Amino acid sequence: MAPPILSQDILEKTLEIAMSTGADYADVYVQKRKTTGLSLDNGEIRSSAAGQTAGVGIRVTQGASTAYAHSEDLSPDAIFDCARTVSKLAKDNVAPAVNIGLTSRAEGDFAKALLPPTDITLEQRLELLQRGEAKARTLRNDIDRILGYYGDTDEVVQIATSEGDLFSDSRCICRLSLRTIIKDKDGKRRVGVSGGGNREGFSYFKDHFQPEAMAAESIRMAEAQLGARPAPIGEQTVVVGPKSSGVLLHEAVGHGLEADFIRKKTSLFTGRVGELVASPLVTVIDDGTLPGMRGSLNVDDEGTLPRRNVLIENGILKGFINDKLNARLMGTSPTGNGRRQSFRCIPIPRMTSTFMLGGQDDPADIIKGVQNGFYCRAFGGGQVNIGNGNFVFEVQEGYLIEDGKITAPVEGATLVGNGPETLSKIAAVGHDLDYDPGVYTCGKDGQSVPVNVGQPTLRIDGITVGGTGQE
Amino acid sequence: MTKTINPAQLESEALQTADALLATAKRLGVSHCDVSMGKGASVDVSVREQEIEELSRSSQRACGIRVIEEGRVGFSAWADVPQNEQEREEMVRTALSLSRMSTASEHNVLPVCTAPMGDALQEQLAPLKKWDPKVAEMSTDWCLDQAMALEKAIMETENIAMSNNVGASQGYGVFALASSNGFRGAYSGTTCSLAGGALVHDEGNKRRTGMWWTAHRFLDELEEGESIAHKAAQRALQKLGAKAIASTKVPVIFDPMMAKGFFSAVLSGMDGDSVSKKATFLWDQKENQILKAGLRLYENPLKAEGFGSTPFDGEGVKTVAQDLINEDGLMTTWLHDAQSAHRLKEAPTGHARRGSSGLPSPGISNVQVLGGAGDLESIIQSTSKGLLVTSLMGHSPNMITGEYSRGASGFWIENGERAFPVEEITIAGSMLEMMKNIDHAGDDLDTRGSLQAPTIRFAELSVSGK
Repeated sequence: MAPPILSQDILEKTLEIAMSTGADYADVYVQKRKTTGLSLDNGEIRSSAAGQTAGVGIRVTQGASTAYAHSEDLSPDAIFDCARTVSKLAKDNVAPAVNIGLTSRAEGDFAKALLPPTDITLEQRLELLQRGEAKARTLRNDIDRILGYYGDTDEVVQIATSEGDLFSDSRCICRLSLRTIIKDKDGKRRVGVSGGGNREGFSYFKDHFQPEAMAAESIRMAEAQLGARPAPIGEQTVVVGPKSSGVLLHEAVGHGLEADFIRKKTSLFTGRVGELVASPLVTVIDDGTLPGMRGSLNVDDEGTLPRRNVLIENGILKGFINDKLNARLMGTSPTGNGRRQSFRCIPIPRMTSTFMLGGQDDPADIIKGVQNGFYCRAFGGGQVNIGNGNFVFEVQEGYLIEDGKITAPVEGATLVGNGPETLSKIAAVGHDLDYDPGVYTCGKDGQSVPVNVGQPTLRIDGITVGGTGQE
Repeated sequence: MTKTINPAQLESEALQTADALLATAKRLGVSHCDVSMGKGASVDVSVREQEIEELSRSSQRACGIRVIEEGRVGFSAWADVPQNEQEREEMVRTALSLSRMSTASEHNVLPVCTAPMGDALQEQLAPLKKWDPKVAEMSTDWCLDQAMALEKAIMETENIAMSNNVGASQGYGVFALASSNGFRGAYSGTTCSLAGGALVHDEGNKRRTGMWWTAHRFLDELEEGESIAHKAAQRALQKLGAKAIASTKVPVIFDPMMAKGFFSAVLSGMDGDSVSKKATFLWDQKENQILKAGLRLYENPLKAEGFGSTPFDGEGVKTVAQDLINEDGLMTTWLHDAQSAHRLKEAPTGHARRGSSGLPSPGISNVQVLGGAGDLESIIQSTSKGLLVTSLMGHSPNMITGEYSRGASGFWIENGERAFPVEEITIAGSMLEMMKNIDHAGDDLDTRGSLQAPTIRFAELSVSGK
């Protein structure tokens, strides 16, 4: 349990003021956060930055309405003032006498810091970047540019609710990445990217994700694209590699299963629980309890413990990603997915680690079975329209498949398709489920939160590839 | 009861905070440093089915200090303001310890302060008209009334199933800068907005959405709710039955909103910091013709009511009105902060932009794409066969290579008219070729932001579909 920022007395009084006009629910979120970031550019640390924030956010909900106020000022007067402001949402109600007694609850131990950044010197952080660059330079002596980034966050949060729950949680997250740029014969720049991080802290870079391996992967990706040709365009059979390409799943279905879009009936998955929404080969899970992972939580940002949620099972829609407000309005239970970027934001339904379970097929056989097609090894990023399910992805590393073999690299490809249609065209699922190394940040309603994605190798029979090449 | 906010007092308080931090740094022996400070507040309301969906009041304050010790940069930011000398010292010492991690470089410099200060600054600020007392009131009632009326208008529009993301906001902010190069200055401004979306049902569980918004520094200059509702509804209804098309190469029209996004990428390509790293597709294009003659990018940092208006940049350099791309289509300048200018052995251009808690980096004030004629409808009429793009998805262009490949939706154009709505396609090209490829531009600027562009047409782009 983390040391308290605000005393239990202050939290209880704040909740009592917030609930004094008879609202359905109130919570207080207190946060203290420290960040450190170092950027490397061709051997130079151009700048080093540290940030520090602290503040409190107070929420009241009444029916489907929410009032929210936040303050950086942690004095009792400023906090009570915020509570009075939000209490006005329920002004028409008969005010009952409110007496809130908080009980400390145990958070989960899914995202425990083993070696938090506070125990690490600036020199140790810098060394990770320097080791990465040194390794890259030994692999190639003609690297045009090496850009590295290291960033970490250490924070303490308190979550107090009008239901009487009090959580105190320490959280940390670290991330390291390296981008290498090499020149092709025609002068074109080929970019390799590798990065990773998680919530166990600095030990991740000792035990699981060493800078040297990161450098080697970054160089491999850049070299693999030497001689890349424009992507052939039009609808084709696409094989998607494992791990990071799970971002496809995140965009194509994940967002559409967030309960706020379902309750407001803006998602095309609205009212379809029990229906076949994907190929029967597809089972999709969101799980905030995977140990130490970037997307994992000890407790979500409104006091619900995370869990493993089955979203789609054998192609059938099973459930949604839910928070307290939407669960109450929909008559169901929160799933531990109420997350927020900081004390300045209300919690909303968000993904944690979202992945597809592995299937029966050998990944090598999946590729062998494609006469002509497109192989995506890595995506850059993507976006989805919740209402019509249309998505688009940047292909970071892609190849032609010719006669069942991965052949020439291609450049400038984009995948465009429709979530449910694409899921229904999944014709083979590999047994190689794996997760991304911890680089993704998901954006929604202007709030960014860290997530993981995971996926096995997939064959999709028909998805449109965009680019500048020929059909 | 609403408290009247006095902008002059806000600015003076922000400057005092910045001054105090600068003084602490000097006392601790820091010779080169600058301090940014920001404070603001806003009220945001969203409504759904004629009830409050969310009502939030936020206030924020933040400050940052950059120290440059023997060419080494260290930066420390607080999302709060140090309240006493002990906290100020902590902040300065953090920046100093970080600077020791950084690599020394002769390019890490503070610029010579050239911006107006004191009365001269006030004289330049007054005509910028950035402050509307009505907006600074942050009236929850105004936001609620406007949002409710807008939502009602959307829901009453024929064939609309429901509203989507309807909201209104009011807020104000102040920014102050104090530097050891002698500069000190501050400005404040207000912003209000009103936005609404409409949703209709289409085949296959698909929802078609359309939205429109208005934003301004002055309350009375906002577009009327009725007009927003009409535009949002039309934008949703027009998409009914959208389908993919076969891959092709045709003229492609961007409406003013899409054109704004395109020119935003062009301006990112002119970022002096990227140029110094050769990390932009424009790095070797200075003084070259990159747009057709007659079309120009004009920047005016002293535009009245402009969202980006400021007489000084984020490092105390004077800002100037100028063509960034002139009427011959030549790119005449980079966008520099002090560091990128020094790297390229050029003078700072007044383009350092910084938030209250971030390091400066190059950016723009108010930029307009000028020199075109006609509007979206006239450009459609002059296109016998082509694609009109009204929405783009996915990643921004690759700034290093200039590769452009994005998901798009809009309308197929046949014989100068919208034939049917289109979705699930991508358009692709390379940024530099696309810029040279613009053969039509209108004068129908979308005036809602600091970057304002008209309808443009590319002579030919790759369209990928089924």
